[in-house]
Formats: sequence, structure tokens, C-alpha cells
Amino acid sequence: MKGEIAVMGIVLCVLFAGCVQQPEDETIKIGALLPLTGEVMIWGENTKNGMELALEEINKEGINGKEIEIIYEDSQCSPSKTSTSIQKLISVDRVNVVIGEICSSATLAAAPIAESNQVVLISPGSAADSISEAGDFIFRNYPKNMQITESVIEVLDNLGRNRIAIMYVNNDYGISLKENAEKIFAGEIAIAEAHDQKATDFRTTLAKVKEQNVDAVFLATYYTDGALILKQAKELNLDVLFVGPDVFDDPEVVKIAGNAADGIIFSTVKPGAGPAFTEFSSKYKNKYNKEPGFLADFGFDALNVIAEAMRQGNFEGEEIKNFLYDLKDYPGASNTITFDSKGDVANSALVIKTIKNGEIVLYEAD
Amino acid sequence: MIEAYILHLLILICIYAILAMSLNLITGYAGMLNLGHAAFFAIGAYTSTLLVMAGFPFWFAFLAAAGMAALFGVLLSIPALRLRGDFLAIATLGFGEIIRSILLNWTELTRGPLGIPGIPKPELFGFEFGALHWYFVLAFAVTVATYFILRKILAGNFGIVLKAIRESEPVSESLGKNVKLVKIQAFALGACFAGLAGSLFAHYITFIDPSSFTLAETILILLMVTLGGMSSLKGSIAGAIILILLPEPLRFIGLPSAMVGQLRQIIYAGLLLALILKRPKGLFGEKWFKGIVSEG
Repeated sequence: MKGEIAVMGIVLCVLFAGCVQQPEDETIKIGALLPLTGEVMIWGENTKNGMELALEEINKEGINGKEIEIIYEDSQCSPSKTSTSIQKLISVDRVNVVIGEICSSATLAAAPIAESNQVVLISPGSAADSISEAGDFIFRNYPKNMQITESVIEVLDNLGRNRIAIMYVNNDYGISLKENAEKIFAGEIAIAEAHDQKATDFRTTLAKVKEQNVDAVFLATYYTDGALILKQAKELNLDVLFVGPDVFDDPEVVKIAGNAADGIIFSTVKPGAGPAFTEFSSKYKNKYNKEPGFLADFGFDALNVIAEAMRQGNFEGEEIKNFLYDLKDYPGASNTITFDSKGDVANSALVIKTIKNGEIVLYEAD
Repeated sequence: MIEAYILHLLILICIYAILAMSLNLITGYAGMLNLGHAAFFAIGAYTSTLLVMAGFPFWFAFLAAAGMAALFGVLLSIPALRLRGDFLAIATLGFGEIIRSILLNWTELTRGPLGIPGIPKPELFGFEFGALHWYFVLAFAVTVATYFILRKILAGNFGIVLKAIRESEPVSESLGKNVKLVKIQAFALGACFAGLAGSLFAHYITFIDPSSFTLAETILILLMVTLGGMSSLKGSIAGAIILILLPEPLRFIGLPSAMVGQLRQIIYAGLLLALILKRPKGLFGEKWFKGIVSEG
């Protein structure tokens, strides 16, 4: 018994010792909630790389002579772990700004805690539409699903396709794209089929789609499953127009699908050719020796707009919140950022792209 | 400010202590390895959430969560009666996955993977448990009540019969004990308290989705039971305290940001291994007599 009590005593002591030790604030602390381990750690890693790159530049000059310090918490894309992590960031580290989470469910769990403590939460990667209503202090510089869907549907309308099929990944992301499409598409949705995020064989679903004789297929998927679908559709001689969201704006798609990727039309936010992105991209390559991965530019921008707020003397949650609502056309790497009244990026400059001969190019209607 | 963080941890400890105690009843006392416990947790959370969102008062939803979970406990116990050991573990594992799949795919009711955001804080007779310290009072009260109710039940005849069944079913049966009924009761009771914990969890986090109730969650609860010691309610509470608090100091070590996530996981796992190696029976574990009285 004594041994056990001693063990628990030590655990508690370490806990409180950690809490009590609070040096004078020589740095400006910013919290980060990212999935650094687990299934989607690659997104957390990419975002973190983007943030670290931004941090390096910001700290060269500093803000009022102080450096920014990012406190990373591994929230593992889990709602309950995220709630603990943000509670710790707010009450122990006393941050006024938290960047994160990537997963929509985790962001939604963190939102009420941020809101009630008047801490700004800015998500660089959550797309769920319900985040718009999560609170005044909740922002995101990632476009919400509705915007992407609208632009994809517009492409279909312009091409006069009025009988489509939807293949969607069965999670919040896929369902939200599918439901949006059902809401705004004027034509007929002949068939909507779900698949698991880890699925690799889509032949059965594709056979069903083929039977329906549709004009187009909307892929509400990620890039791996989406690319596999393109590849298997070609094998099944399913010759139909594929459209999709921004996830297809990734060279990996061509690597997986080969020439089957040709012809897909998708809507995406990356300006690609924009000067801010080119600059970011070359700095990123210098530092990490690889192309910026998915979300790296969003992490980079999220930290940069916060730093911008602080350079202009806004340090409290309330002040940063007001600054963000007033921000106009900030030239970010991912996008030109203006927040609307819900904290979403207003009219993200979306562009339509396609894949031609294995190259991602801007789409031009013939 | 720092109290908020500590209160948050205390609330989580309360919720998990209830879960661990309820699983201990099924696995520790009755000896039925249950790998689907998170399903009862989920059923409680969703029942309570959906009822409150539909306009029912919190106390009703809270009790309904317990009732609904207990009902599913009875349902699960029917096939479980014929199984024991590894087979029972697999059946309960399947049950957990079925419930998770239903929550994931019955989108009209549960919103599926989108989850349910904005769950209101509980309100009892006009008093809102919105502030952290009041929520802690509520969670603590439920935990204490759970502890005393379970202790009362388990100290009596019921507890003894449960342990007898754990050690040897044929012997218990030969002594005229209704093994089936007792097993059903054990499942229902364990599930019922897990349902209560689910309700507390949903109204505290204010967001639920099926990803919060996976097998990993069951394993965490089972780990609390094992670490604290089988068939010891105090042990389960200690297990919950340790497993909730153990990762926390690791946040303060100041690990290099390059590998902070991975390092924390490694240290956490190492500490756990050390604890289990030091006390294989768990902190407050009771000796099982299996092996002395052989199975039929």
C-alpha cells in the first residue's frame, strides 16, 4: 500500500511542480493543437512545418522585442484529448490564441472552451460547415466545404451535366460535401455511395455507377481513395467526367492513378502561381528539402495573421478577434485572407483546375 | 486560472472512475472480459444528448441514459450467457463495433460522423451546471453515489455469487445459484453506470461523435481496471486517477518541439509498463482462486 501511495504522490507532485513553475513571460505564447501522432499525423506534421517556417521569420525581427513561442499539444484528432489540451493551454500557459485542430470533430470540441475563455481559436484545416456557427472567437483560414461544393456544382452546371453520381468517403468531410451537393444541385443525383476511408477496392461501386449511365461523378473523397477510384474506373472502361474537391490538387494523384487521372476537373484554393505561394514554397523547400505538403501553407498563414495582429499591438483574445474581423485581403500563401462575420475565409479565391497529360493545369472551358 | 485545468482533469477522473468501476463489476467481479464497454458509454452519451436536444429535462435524459444502456446490457448478456473466456471477449468486441457502426451510419438520428455539437450544459431544477466547479460537484456526486451503491451491492450476497461464478460456474450452479440471472444482472448494472458516465461526458465536452467511443476507449477503461486491481472499486478509482493524470506532467517537461508528440507517447507507455511490472495484480488487486478450484 505504501508503495502505491508513494507512486501516486510522485505523480501528483510532478504534476503540480510543472504547474507552479511559471517564469516571467519573456516570450509571447501561442498554443497549437495538432494531431502529432495517430492516423492523420501527416497533416499535423505538415501544418507544424508550415508554422515553424513562419515562426522563424517572425522571430528574426520579434514583436516588440519579444519572441513568439509555440506550445504544441498533441490532440490526436480526438475530441476528448483536444478538450484537455486546450484547457491546459488556456489555464496553465495562459495563451490568448490557439491554432488548431485539423479534424473538424476536434475543433468542435475545443470551440466552446475557447469561446467561454475569450481565446481566439483559428483552425488551419477543418472544413465542416458547423464550425461557422461555433462562436465569435472561432476562425478558420481553410475554406468550408460549402464553398468548394458550390464551385464544383457550378462546373457541372456550366457543362450542362444534370444526372450525376456521388462517391463519398464515410466521415464528416465526405458526408458534408455530399449533403451540400444534394442541397444545391438542381439536376438528379442518380446514386450516392459511401465508402470507408481506408477502402482500396471500388469496383463494385463503380459497376453500380456504370449501370446508372450518369453524366458525371462527383468524388467527395481524399486524394488516395479518389485516385484509386480514377484508376479502377479506367480499368472498368467507365468513361465519364469526374469532378472533385481541392484534395485532387496534389501530384500524388497522378502518381497513383497514372494517365487515368487525366480529365478530372476540381475546384481548389491554391493560387499555385501566386507570388506569396511561390515565395513560401521555395522557402519551404530550402528548410525541409521537400515540396510543401497538404495544409503546410494554411499553418504558415494562420501563424502569420496572428503575428500581424500582434505587430499592431493586439495581444488579448478580444483585440485579436476584432483585428481578424477587420483584416482585409491579407496576402497569404494559401489564399488572400478576409474573414467574414462567421470567422470563415470570405469568398476564397477558388480556381478550377484539371489534369492534362499528367500535369495539373488551370481548367479552360472549351 | 490554473484551477480550470485541474478541475477539468478532476471531472475527467470522475467520469472515468465511474466507467472503470462499472467495467470492474463485469470483468473484475464476474470475470467476464468485456471489450465492448465503450458501447454502453456511447449509448448513454447519445441517449442523453438526443433527449435533451429534443427538449426533455436533464434529469430525465440522465436516467434514460442509464436505462437505455442497461437495456443494451441485457441484450448483450443473452448471447454472452453461452460464451466465456476468449469467445465472450470476441462477442463483446463485436457488440462494441456494431454499436459504433450504427452510430456512424444512422445519420438521420445521430448525424453520423459529423457528430453532435452544442450539447447544452445540464440544468437541474432551474440550476445550470455551466461553471466548471459546479460541473465538478455534479460529477463528483455521481461518482460517490456510484461508489457507495456498487459497494453496497457487491458487499452483499450478489457480490459473493458474482465471485463464485467467476471462480467456477458449475460449482455455483450446483449450489443452487441462478448463474444466468446473475450474469444478466451484472451486465445490466455495469452498463447502467457506464450510461450515466456517458451522459456526464456528453454534457461536459458538449460535442460527441462516434470516434470518441472506439475500442481504444474500452482498452483505456480496461487498463484502469487492471492497473487498479480486479474486483476492487477503490482500485478502479485509483486506476482512473493515474491514467488520466499520467500523461499530464509530460506536457511540462519541455520536450523539443520536433518530436514532442512521439516522445510523450513513448514515456507514457514506459511508465505504464513499469507500473504493471511492479504490480502485476494491480494496485489494490484481489487474488483470483482460479486454478485451485478447477473448471468442471
